[in-house]
Amino acid sequence: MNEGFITNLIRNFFEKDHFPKTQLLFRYWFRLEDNQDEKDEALQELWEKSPSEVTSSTLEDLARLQKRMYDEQPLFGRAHRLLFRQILKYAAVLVFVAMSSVITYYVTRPSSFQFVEFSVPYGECEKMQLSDGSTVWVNAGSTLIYPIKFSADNRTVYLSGEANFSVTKNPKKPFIVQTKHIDVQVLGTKFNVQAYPDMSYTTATLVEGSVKVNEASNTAKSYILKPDEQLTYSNRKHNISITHVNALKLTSWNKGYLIFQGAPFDEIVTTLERKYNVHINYDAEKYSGGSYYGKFNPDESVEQVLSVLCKLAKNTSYQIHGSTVYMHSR
Amino acid sequence: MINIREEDCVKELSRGDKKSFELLFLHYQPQLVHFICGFIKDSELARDVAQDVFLSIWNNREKLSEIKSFKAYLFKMGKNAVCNFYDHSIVNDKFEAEELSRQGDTDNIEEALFAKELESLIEIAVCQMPAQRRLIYTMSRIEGVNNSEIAERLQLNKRTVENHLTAALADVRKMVKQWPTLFL
Repeated sequence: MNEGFITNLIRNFFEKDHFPKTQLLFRYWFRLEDNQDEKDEALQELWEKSPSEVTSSTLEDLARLQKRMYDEQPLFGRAHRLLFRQILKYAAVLVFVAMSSVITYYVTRPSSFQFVEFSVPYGECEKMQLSDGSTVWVNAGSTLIYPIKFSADNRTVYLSGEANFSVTKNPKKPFIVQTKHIDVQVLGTKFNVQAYPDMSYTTATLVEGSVKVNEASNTAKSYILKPDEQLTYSNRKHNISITHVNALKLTSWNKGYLIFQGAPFDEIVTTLERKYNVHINYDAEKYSGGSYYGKFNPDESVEQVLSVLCKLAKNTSYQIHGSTVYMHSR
Repeated sequence: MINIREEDCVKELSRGDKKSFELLFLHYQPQLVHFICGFIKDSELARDVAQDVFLSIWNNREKLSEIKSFKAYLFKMGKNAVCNFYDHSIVNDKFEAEELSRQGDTDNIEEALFAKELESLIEIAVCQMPAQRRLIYTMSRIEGVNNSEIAERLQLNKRTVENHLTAALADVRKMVKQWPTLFL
Protein backbone atom coordinates (compact mmCIF):
# COMPACT_ATOMS: atom_id res chain seq x y z
CA MET A 1 0.00 0.00 0.00
CA ASN A 2 1.42 3.37 -0.85
CA GLU A 3 2.89 5.59 1.79
CA GLY A 4 0.54 7.93 3.54
CA PHE A 5 -2.61 6.27 2.21
CA ILE A 6 -3.81 5.25 5.65
CA THR A 7 -2.94 8.63 7.09
CA ASN A 8 -4.86 10.42 4.37
CA LEU A 9 -7.86 8.20 4.83
CA ILE A 10 -8.00 8.86 8.56
CA ARG A 11 -7.41 12.56 8.05
CA ASN A 12 -10.19 12.67 5.47
CA PHE A 13 -12.56 10.93 7.85
CA PHE A 14 -11.57 13.17 10.75
CA GLU A 15 -12.04 16.43 8.91
CA LYS A 16 -15.35 15.83 7.18
CA ASP A 17 -18.85 14.74 8.00
CA HIS A 18 -19.83 11.30 6.79
CA PHE A 19 -22.95 9.25 6.38
CA PRO A 20 -23.65 6.74 9.14
CA LYS A 21 -22.85 3.88 6.80
CA THR A 22 -19.41 5.27 6.05
CA GLN A 23 -18.91 5.94 9.72
CA LEU A 24 -19.67 2.37 10.65
CA LEU A 25 -17.34 1.10 7.92
CA PHE A 26 -14.67 3.40 9.24
CA ARG A 27 -15.21 2.27 12.83
CA TYR A 28 -14.99 -1.30 11.76
CA TRP A 29 -11.88 -0.83 9.68
CA PHE A 30 -10.24 1.34 12.30
CA ARG A 31 -10.57 -1.35 14.95
CA LEU A 32 -9.08 -4.07 12.77
CA GLU A 33 -5.59 -4.90 13.83
CA ASP A 34 -3.76 -4.22 10.59
CA ASN A 35 -1.68 -1.14 9.84
CA GLN A 36 -1.64 -0.30 13.53
CA ASP A 37 1.53 1.78 13.37
CA GLU A 38 0.25 3.96 10.59
CA LYS A 39 -3.08 4.40 12.30
CA ASP A 40 -1.33 5.44 15.48
CA GLU A 41 0.81 7.92 13.62
CA ALA A 42 -2.21 9.49 11.97
CA LEU A 43 -3.93 9.76 15.33
CA GLN A 44 -0.91 11.43 16.84
CA GLU A 45 -0.86 13.94 14.01
CA LEU A 46 -4.56 14.75 14.39
CA TRP A 47 -4.11 15.09 18.13
CA GLU A 48 -1.27 17.55 17.66
CA LYS A 49 -3.34 19.55 15.21
CA SER A 50 -6.48 19.72 17.34
CA PRO A 51 -6.91 23.31 18.49
CA SER A 52 -7.39 24.13 22.14
CA GLU A 53 -9.65 27.11 22.41
CA VAL A 54 -11.64 27.76 25.54
CA THR A 55 -15.29 28.54 24.87
CA SER A 56 -18.34 28.90 27.05
CA SER A 57 -19.02 25.18 26.69
CA THR A 58 -15.54 24.44 28.11
CA LEU A 59 -16.42 26.39 31.24
CA GLU A 60 -19.81 24.71 31.36
CA ASP A 61 -18.14 21.30 31.15
CA LEU A 62 -15.68 22.24 33.87
CA ALA A 63 -18.50 23.28 36.22
CA ARG A 64 -20.39 20.08 35.42
CA LEU A 65 -17.32 17.97 36.06
CA GLN A 66 -16.48 19.72 39.31
CA LYS A 67 -19.94 18.89 40.57
CA ARG A 68 -19.29 15.24 39.84
CA MET A 69 -15.82 15.40 41.42
CA TYR A 70 -17.10 16.87 44.68
CA ASP A 71 -20.23 14.75 44.88
CA GLU A 72 -18.17 11.61 44.81
CA GLN A 73 -16.08 12.68 47.79
CA PRO A 74 -16.97 11.11 51.13
CA LEU A 75 -18.59 13.52 53.53
CA PHE A 76 -16.38 12.53 56.45
CA GLY A 77 -12.75 11.56 56.26
CA ARG A 78 -11.46 8.29 57.68
CA ALA A 79 -9.88 10.05 60.63
CA HIS A 80 -13.21 11.44 61.70
CA ARG A 81 -14.87 8.06 61.66
CA LEU A 82 -12.13 6.50 63.77
CA LEU A 83 -12.49 9.26 66.30
CA PHE A 84 -16.19 8.62 66.53
CA ARG A 85 -15.57 5.02 67.42
CA GLN A 86 -12.78 5.59 69.89
CA ILE A 87 -14.12 8.33 72.03
CA LEU A 88 -17.79 7.60 72.31
CA LYS A 89 -18.28 9.50 75.54
CA TYR A 90 -17.39 12.70 73.77
CA ALA A 91 -19.64 11.78 70.92
CA ALA A 92 -22.02 14.66 71.39
CA VAL A 93 -19.21 17.17 71.48
CA LEU A 94 -17.45 15.56 68.58
CA VAL A 95 -20.55 15.42 66.47
CA PHE A 96 -20.95 19.09 67.05
CA VAL A 97 -17.32 19.74 66.13
CA ALA A 98 -17.50 17.51 63.08
CA MET A 99 -20.71 19.07 61.90
CA SER A 100 -19.46 22.58 62.32
CA SER A 101 -16.28 21.74 60.46
CA VAL A 102 -18.36 20.33 57.63
CA ILE A 103 -20.42 23.47 57.59
CA THR A 104 -17.27 25.60 57.65
CA TYR A 105 -15.88 23.50 54.85
CA TYR A 106 -18.87 24.16 52.66
CA VAL A 107 -19.04 27.83 53.51
CA THR A 108 -15.38 28.60 53.06
CA ARG A 109 -14.66 26.20 50.26
CA PRO A 110 -12.85 28.30 47.72
CA SER A 111 -15.23 29.40 45.01
CA SER A 112 -14.27 27.64 41.84
CA PHE A 113 -11.72 29.53 39.80
CA GLN A 114 -12.80 29.95 36.27
CA PHE A 115 -10.09 30.65 33.79
CA VAL A 116 -10.23 31.97 30.31
CA GLU A 117 -7.59 31.23 27.74
CA PHE A 118 -7.04 34.07 25.31
CA SER A 119 -4.97 33.00 22.33
CA VAL A 120 -3.88 35.18 19.44
CA PRO A 121 -2.91 33.40 16.21
CA TYR A 122 0.12 34.21 14.08
CA GLY A 123 -0.28 37.33 11.97
CA GLU A 124 -2.46 39.17 14.47
CA CYS A 125 -2.35 41.08 17.73
CA GLU A 126 -5.33 41.78 19.92
CA LYS A 127 -6.35 44.03 22.76
CA MET A 128 -8.40 42.73 25.64
CA GLN A 129 -9.61 44.02 28.97
CA LEU A 130 -9.46 42.22 32.30
CA SER A 131 -12.16 42.39 34.97
CA ASP A 132 -10.18 44.96 37.00
CA GLY A 133 -10.05 47.39 34.07
CA SER A 134 -6.44 46.63 33.10
CA THR A 135 -5.87 46.38 29.38
CA VAL A 136 -3.59 43.92 27.65
CA TRP A 137 -2.33 43.87 24.09
CA VAL A 138 -1.54 40.28 23.27
CA ASN A 139 0.93 39.75 20.44
CA ALA A 140 0.88 37.14 17.66
CA GLY A 141 1.32 33.52 18.67
CA SER A 142 0.71 34.25 22.36
CA THR A 143 -1.64 32.95 25.03
CA LEU A 144 -2.88 34.73 28.13
CA ILE A 145 -4.75 32.80 30.81
CA TYR A 146 -6.71 34.77 33.35
CA PRO A 147 -9.47 34.13 35.86
CA ILE A 148 -12.92 35.49 35.08
CA LYS A 149 -12.83 36.97 38.56
CA PHE A 150 -9.61 37.73 40.38
CA SER A 151 -9.04 36.25 43.82
CA ALA A 152 -9.27 38.42 46.93
CA ASP A 153 -5.59 39.11 47.48
CA ASN A 154 -3.94 39.32 44.08
CA ARG A 155 -4.48 39.50 40.34
CA THR A 156 -2.52 36.69 38.73
CA VAL A 157 -2.40 35.95 35.01
CA TYR A 158 -0.32 33.46 33.04
CA LEU A 159 1.46 34.36 29.84
CA SER A 160 3.09 32.34 27.11
CA GLY A 161 4.33 34.69 24.40
CA GLU A 162 4.35 38.48 24.41
CA ALA A 163 1.99 41.11 25.77
CA ASN A 164 1.90 44.79 26.70
CA PHE A 165 0.16 45.43 30.00
CA SER A 166 -1.46 48.60 31.19
CA VAL A 167 -2.46 47.81 34.73
CA THR A 168 -5.10 49.65 36.77
CA LYS A 169 -3.69 50.82 40.10
CA ASN A 170 -4.75 48.83 43.14
CA PRO A 171 -2.20 48.80 45.98
CA LYS A 172 -4.16 46.17 47.87
CA LYS A 173 -4.08 43.66 45.06
CA PRO A 174 -0.76 43.30 43.29
CA PHE A 175 -0.94 42.32 39.63
CA ILE A 176 1.28 39.34 38.82
CA VAL A 177 2.28 38.03 35.41
CA GLN A 178 3.57 34.50 35.68
CA THR A 179 5.63 32.99 32.89
CA LYS A 180 7.60 29.81 32.69
CA HIS A 181 10.79 31.43 33.93
CA ILE A 182 9.99 34.74 35.62
CA ASP A 183 7.21 36.41 37.61
CA VAL A 184 6.54 40.13 37.18
CA GLN A 185 4.70 41.85 39.99
CA VAL A 186 3.25 45.36 39.84
CA LEU A 187 0.78 47.61 41.56
CA GLY A 188 -0.22 49.72 38.59
CA THR A 189 1.91 50.54 35.59
CA LYS A 190 2.70 49.96 31.91
CA PHE A 191 5.08 47.23 30.93
CA ASN A 192 5.79 44.49 28.43
CA VAL A 193 6.54 40.83 28.99
CA GLN A 194 7.99 38.60 26.30
CA ALA A 195 8.05 34.89 27.11
CA TYR A 196 7.81 32.89 23.90
CA PRO A 197 8.50 29.22 24.49
CA ASP A 198 10.66 29.04 21.34
CA MET A 199 12.93 31.94 22.30
CA SER A 200 16.08 31.51 24.32
CA TYR A 201 15.28 34.30 26.77
CA THR A 202 12.40 35.97 28.61
CA THR A 203 12.18 39.73 29.01
CA ALA A 204 10.28 42.27 31.07
CA THR A 205 10.39 45.89 29.88
CA LEU A 206 9.05 48.79 31.90
CA VAL A 207 7.39 51.80 30.24
CA GLU A 208 5.92 53.58 33.26
CA GLY A 209 5.79 53.11 37.04
CA SER A 210 7.70 50.34 38.72
CA VAL A 211 7.72 46.56 38.66
CA LYS A 212 9.28 43.80 40.70
CA VAL A 213 10.62 40.75 38.88
CA ASN A 214 11.74 37.46 40.31
CA GLU A 215 12.75 34.10 38.93
CA ALA A 216 9.92 31.63 39.02
CA SER A 217 12.20 29.12 40.69
CA ASN A 218 13.54 31.54 43.27
CA THR A 219 10.99 33.93 44.72
CA ALA A 220 13.35 35.13 47.43
CA LYS A 221 15.50 37.25 45.14
CA SER A 222 13.81 40.03 43.24
CA TYR A 223 14.76 42.91 40.95
CA ILE A 224 13.08 46.30 40.78
CA LEU A 225 12.92 47.91 37.32
CA LYS A 226 12.83 51.63 36.53
CA PRO A 227 11.17 53.03 33.40
CA ASP A 228 13.08 52.23 30.20
CA GLU A 229 14.84 49.33 31.82
CA GLN A 230 14.64 45.84 30.40
CA LEU A 231 15.29 42.71 32.39
CA THR A 232 16.49 39.77 30.32
CA TYR A 233 16.43 36.26 31.70
CA SER A 234 18.37 33.64 29.80
CA ASN A 235 16.18 30.55 29.67
CA ARG A 236 19.22 28.34 29.14
CA LYS A 237 21.91 29.91 31.33
CA HIS A 238 19.40 30.99 33.99
CA ASN A 239 21.02 34.36 34.58
CA ILE A 240 19.55 37.83 34.64
CA SER A 241 20.78 41.10 33.15
CA ILE A 242 19.25 44.58 33.12
CA THR A 243 19.81 46.97 30.23
CA HIS A 244 18.64 50.44 29.28
CA VAL A 245 16.26 50.53 26.29
CA ASN A 246 13.68 52.73 24.62
CA ALA A 247 10.68 50.99 26.12
CA LEU A 248 8.01 52.94 24.25
CA LYS A 249 9.58 51.97 20.94
CA LEU A 250 10.05 48.34 21.87
CA THR A 251 6.43 48.03 22.90
CA SER A 252 5.01 49.71 19.81
CA TRP A 253 4.24 46.44 18.01
CA ASN A 254 0.59 46.86 18.93
CA LYS A 255 0.51 49.85 16.58
CA GLY A 256 2.10 47.66 13.95
CA TYR A 257 5.72 48.72 14.39
CA LEU A 258 8.44 46.16 14.80
CA ILE A 259 11.59 47.58 16.29
CA PHE A 260 14.79 45.69 16.92
CA GLN A 261 17.63 47.09 18.95
CA GLY A 262 20.65 44.86 18.76
CA ALA A 263 18.53 41.78 18.27
CA PRO A 264 19.96 38.45 17.06
CA PHE A 265 18.95 37.41 13.54
CA ASP A 266 16.84 34.47 14.66
CA GLU A 267 14.74 36.72 16.87
CA ILE A 268 13.95 38.99 13.92
CA VAL A 269 13.03 35.98 11.82
CA THR A 270 10.70 34.45 14.41
CA THR A 271 9.06 37.81 15.07
CA LEU A 272 8.40 38.28 11.35
CA GLU A 273 7.12 34.70 11.08
CA ARG A 274 4.63 35.42 13.81
CA LYS A 275 3.54 38.78 12.47
CA TYR A 276 3.14 37.74 8.85
CA ASN A 277 2.16 34.14 9.54
CA VAL A 278 4.83 32.70 7.25
CA HIS A 279 7.55 30.13 7.69
CA ILE A 280 11.04 31.36 6.86
CA ASN A 281 13.73 28.88 5.90
CA TYR A 282 17.27 30.13 6.30
CA ASP A 283 20.71 28.98 7.28
CA ALA A 284 20.58 29.70 11.01
CA GLU A 285 24.26 29.08 11.55
CA LYS A 286 25.33 31.60 8.98
CA TYR A 287 23.66 34.50 10.75
CA SER A 288 24.19 33.51 14.36
CA GLY A 289 26.23 35.76 16.60
CA GLY A 290 25.39 39.02 14.82
CA SER A 291 23.18 41.74 16.27
CA TYR A 292 20.84 43.77 14.11
CA TYR A 293 19.00 47.07 14.27
CA GLY A 294 15.89 47.77 12.28
CA LYS A 295 12.44 49.22 12.25
CA PHE A 296 9.49 47.92 10.25
CA ASN A 297 6.45 50.08 9.70
CA PRO A 298 2.84 48.96 10.13
CA ASP A 299 1.90 49.17 6.45
CA GLU A 300 4.87 47.25 5.06
CA SER A 301 4.03 44.15 3.08
CA VAL A 302 5.74 40.85 3.68
CA GLU A 303 7.73 41.37 0.46
CA GLN A 304 9.00 44.76 1.58
CA VAL A 305 9.94 43.40 4.96
CA LEU A 306 11.75 40.44 3.41
CA SER A 307 13.77 42.62 1.09
CA VAL A 308 14.89 44.65 4.10
CA LEU A 309 15.75 41.43 5.89
CA CYS A 310 17.84 40.32 2.90
CA LYS A 311 19.68 43.62 2.96
CA LEU A 312 20.39 43.19 6.66
CA ALA A 313 21.65 39.69 6.03
CA LYS A 314 23.83 40.92 3.12
CA ASN A 315 24.10 39.13 -0.24
CA THR A 316 20.87 37.29 0.30
CA SER A 317 17.76 36.86 -1.80
CA TYR A 318 14.41 35.30 -1.07
CA GLN A 319 11.65 33.34 -2.75
CA ILE A 320 8.06 32.91 -1.55
CA HIS A 321 6.10 29.69 -2.11
CA GLY A 322 2.68 30.00 -0.53
CA SER A 323 3.34 30.76 3.12
CA THR A 324 6.91 29.50 3.05
CA VAL A 325 9.86 31.77 2.43
CA TYR A 326 13.29 30.53 1.35
CA MET A 327 16.33 32.71 1.91
CA HIS A 328 19.41 31.94 -0.18
CA SER A 329 22.80 33.53 0.06
CA ARG A 330 24.10 34.58 -3.30
CA MET B 1 -0.35 27.61 29.44
CA ILE B 2 1.99 25.95 26.98
CA ASN B 3 5.19 25.32 28.90
CA ILE B 4 4.07 27.43 31.83
CA ARG B 5 5.06 25.08 34.59
CA GLU B 6 3.04 22.26 33.26
CA GLU B 7 5.20 19.77 35.15
CA ASP B 8 4.48 21.65 38.37
CA CYS B 9 0.79 21.69 37.58
CA VAL B 10 0.76 17.94 37.02
CA LYS B 11 2.76 17.35 40.19
CA GLU B 12 0.33 19.45 42.20
CA LEU B 13 -2.60 17.66 40.63
CA SER B 14 -1.17 14.29 41.63
CA ARG B 15 -1.30 15.59 45.21
CA GLY B 16 -4.95 16.52 44.80
CA ASP B 17 -4.72 20.21 43.91
CA LYS B 18 -7.98 21.25 42.29
CA LYS B 19 -6.68 24.47 40.85
CA SER B 20 -4.00 22.64 38.87
CA PHE B 21 -6.68 20.31 37.63
CA GLU B 22 -8.71 23.29 36.44
CA LEU B 23 -5.73 24.78 34.64
CA LEU B 24 -4.94 21.54 32.86
CA PHE B 25 -8.60 21.04 32.05
CA LEU B 26 -8.87 24.51 30.54
CA HIS B 27 -5.76 24.00 28.52
CA TYR B 28 -6.44 20.53 27.19
CA GLN B 29 -10.18 19.83 27.32
CA PRO B 30 -11.05 21.74 24.10
CA GLN B 31 -8.28 19.90 22.28
CA LEU B 32 -9.54 16.57 23.58
CA VAL B 33 -13.13 17.34 22.62
CA HIS B 34 -12.06 18.33 19.10
CA PHE B 35 -10.00 15.18 18.76
CA ILE B 36 -12.78 12.87 19.96
CA CYS B 37 -15.42 14.69 17.95
CA GLY B 38 -13.44 14.13 14.75
CA PHE B 39 -13.90 10.42 15.28
CA ILE B 40 -17.35 10.11 16.75
CA LYS B 41 -18.93 12.99 14.79
CA ASP B 42 -21.22 14.17 17.57
CA SER B 43 -20.08 17.17 19.56
CA GLU B 44 -22.38 16.60 22.54
CA LEU B 45 -21.27 13.00 22.83
CA ALA B 46 -17.64 14.04 22.40
CA ARG B 47 -18.02 16.41 25.35
CA ASP B 48 -19.43 13.60 27.48
CA VAL B 49 -16.63 11.24 26.54
CA ALA B 50 -14.07 13.94 27.37
CA GLN B 51 -15.77 14.46 30.75
CA ASP B 52 -15.28 10.79 31.55
CA VAL B 53 -11.63 11.00 30.56
CA PHE B 54 -11.01 13.96 32.83
CA LEU B 55 -12.97 12.42 35.69
CA SER B 56 -10.85 9.31 35.41
CA ILE B 57 -7.71 11.49 35.44
CA TRP B 58 -8.96 13.10 38.64
CA ASN B 59 -9.86 9.80 40.24
CA ASN B 60 -6.47 8.34 39.36
CA ARG B 61 -4.50 11.48 40.03
CA GLU B 62 -1.88 9.72 42.19
CA LYS B 63 -0.66 7.93 39.09
CA LEU B 64 0.23 11.24 37.48
CA SER B 65 3.37 11.55 39.58
CA GLU B 66 4.86 8.83 37.40
CA ILE B 67 4.10 10.25 33.97
CA LYS B 68 6.54 12.27 31.91
CA SER B 69 4.22 14.21 29.64
CA PHE B 70 0.64 15.06 30.49
CA LYS B 71 -0.12 15.76 26.85
CA ALA B 72 1.07 12.32 25.79
CA TYR B 73 -0.85 10.75 28.66
CA LEU B 74 -4.03 12.55 27.67
CA PHE B 75 -3.57 11.56 24.04
CA LYS B 76 -3.39 7.93 25.10
CA MET B 77 -6.53 8.29 27.18
CA GLY B 78 -8.33 10.04 24.34
CA LYS B 79 -7.30 7.34 21.90
CA ASN B 80 -8.51 4.62 24.22
CA ALA B 81 -11.78 6.47 24.74
CA VAL B 82 -12.36 6.58 20.96
CA CYS B 83 -11.49 2.89 20.59
CA ASN B 84 -13.80 1.90 23.43
CA PHE B 85 -16.56 3.99 22.00
CA TYR B 86 -16.07 2.35 18.60
CA ASP B 87 -16.02 -1.18 20.00
CA HIS B 88 -19.06 -0.48 22.07
CA SER B 89 -21.00 1.06 19.21
CA ILE B 90 -20.10 -1.76 16.84
CA VAL B 91 -21.16 -4.44 19.28
CA ASN B 92 -24.29 -2.67 20.35
CA ASP B 93 -25.32 -1.88 16.82
CA LYS B 94 -25.75 1.72 17.68
CA PHE B 95 -26.27 2.55 14.08
CA GLU B 96 -29.73 1.28 13.51
CA ALA B 97 -29.95 -1.01 10.55
CA GLU B 98 -32.95 0.86 9.23
CA GLU B 99 -31.19 4.14 9.21
CA LEU B 100 -28.30 2.54 7.43
CA SER B 101 -30.37 0.99 4.72
CA ARG B 102 -32.27 4.24 4.27
CA GLN B 103 -29.05 6.08 3.69
CA GLY B 104 -27.32 3.14 2.13
CA ASP B 105 -27.08 4.45 -1.38
CA THR B 106 -25.76 7.88 -1.89
CA ASP B 107 -25.45 10.04 -4.94
CA ASN B 108 -22.55 11.83 -3.33
CA ILE B 109 -19.68 10.49 -5.41
CA GLU B 110 -16.96 11.53 -3.05
CA GLU B 111 -18.68 9.88 -0.13
CA ALA B 112 -19.34 6.73 -2.15
CA LEU B 113 -15.68 6.53 -3.15
CA PHE B 114 -14.59 6.97 0.42
CA ALA B 115 -16.90 4.17 1.56
CA LYS B 116 -15.62 1.95 -1.28
CA GLU B 117 -12.07 2.59 -0.16
CA LEU B 118 -12.92 1.52 3.37
CA GLU B 119 -14.67 -1.57 2.10
CA SER B 120 -11.66 -2.70 0.13
CA LEU B 121 -9.41 -2.03 3.10
CA ILE B 122 -11.59 -4.22 5.28
CA GLU B 123 -11.46 -6.89 2.62
CA ILE B 124 -7.69 -6.71 2.53
CA ALA B 125 -7.58 -6.95 6.29
CA VAL B 126 -9.76 -10.04 6.26
CA CYS B 127 -7.52 -11.65 3.64
CA GLN B 128 -4.51 -10.96 5.80
CA MET B 129 -5.95 -12.71 8.80
CA PRO B 130 -4.15 -15.83 9.96
CA ALA B 131 -5.55 -18.83 8.11
CA GLN B 132 -7.41 -20.31 11.02
CA ARG B 133 -9.00 -17.09 12.09
CA ARG B 134 -10.09 -16.42 8.55
CA LEU B 135 -11.58 -19.89 8.35
CA ILE B 136 -13.51 -19.47 11.58
CA TYR B 137 -14.52 -16.07 10.48
CA THR B 138 -15.75 -17.29 7.12
CA MET B 139 -17.69 -20.15 8.63
CA SER B 140 -19.28 -17.86 11.07
CA ARG B 141 -19.91 -15.21 8.46
CA ILE B 142 -20.98 -17.02 5.31
CA GLU B 143 -22.35 -20.26 6.61
CA GLY B 144 -23.81 -18.83 9.78
CA VAL B 145 -22.45 -21.74 11.76
CA ASN B 146 -22.62 -21.19 15.48
CA ASN B 147 -19.56 -21.18 17.66
CA SER B 148 -19.96 -24.58 19.29
CA GLU B 149 -20.44 -26.16 15.89
CA ILE B 150 -17.34 -24.45 14.54
CA ALA B 151 -15.45 -25.64 17.59
CA GLU B 152 -16.67 -29.16 17.02
CA ARG B 153 -15.89 -29.20 13.32
CA LEU B 154 -12.41 -27.76 13.75
CA GLN B 155 -11.83 -29.70 16.96
CA LEU B 156 -11.12 -26.60 18.91
CA ASN B 157 -12.09 -25.33 22.27
CA LYS B 158 -15.22 -23.21 22.01
CA ARG B 159 -13.39 -20.47 23.90
CA THR B 160 -10.68 -20.43 21.24
CA VAL B 161 -13.29 -19.94 18.55
CA GLU B 162 -14.77 -17.07 20.48
CA ASN B 163 -11.37 -15.49 20.93
CA HIS B 164 -10.71 -15.70 17.23
CA LEU B 165 -14.00 -14.12 16.47
CA THR B 166 -13.52 -11.38 18.98
CA ALA B 167 -10.14 -10.66 17.51
CA ALA B 168 -11.70 -10.30 14.11
CA LEU B 169 -14.61 -8.37 15.54
CA ALA B 170 -17.45 -10.77 15.82
CA ASP B 171 -20.10 -8.46 14.51
CA VAL B 172 -19.05 -8.96 10.94
CA ARG B 173 -22.07 -11.07 10.20
CA LYS B 174 -24.32 -8.16 10.89
CA MET B 175 -22.38 -5.99 8.54
CA VAL B 176 -22.40 -8.60 5.82
CA LYS B 177 -26.13 -8.89 6.08
CA GLN B 178 -26.45 -5.21 5.60
CA TRP B 179 -24.09 -5.00 2.69
CA PRO B 180 -24.04 -8.37 1.01
CA THR B 181 -21.47 -7.29 -1.57
CA LEU B 182 -18.98 -6.22 1.01
CA PHE B 183 -16.90 -9.33 1.35
CA LEU B 184 -17.68 -11.17 -1.84
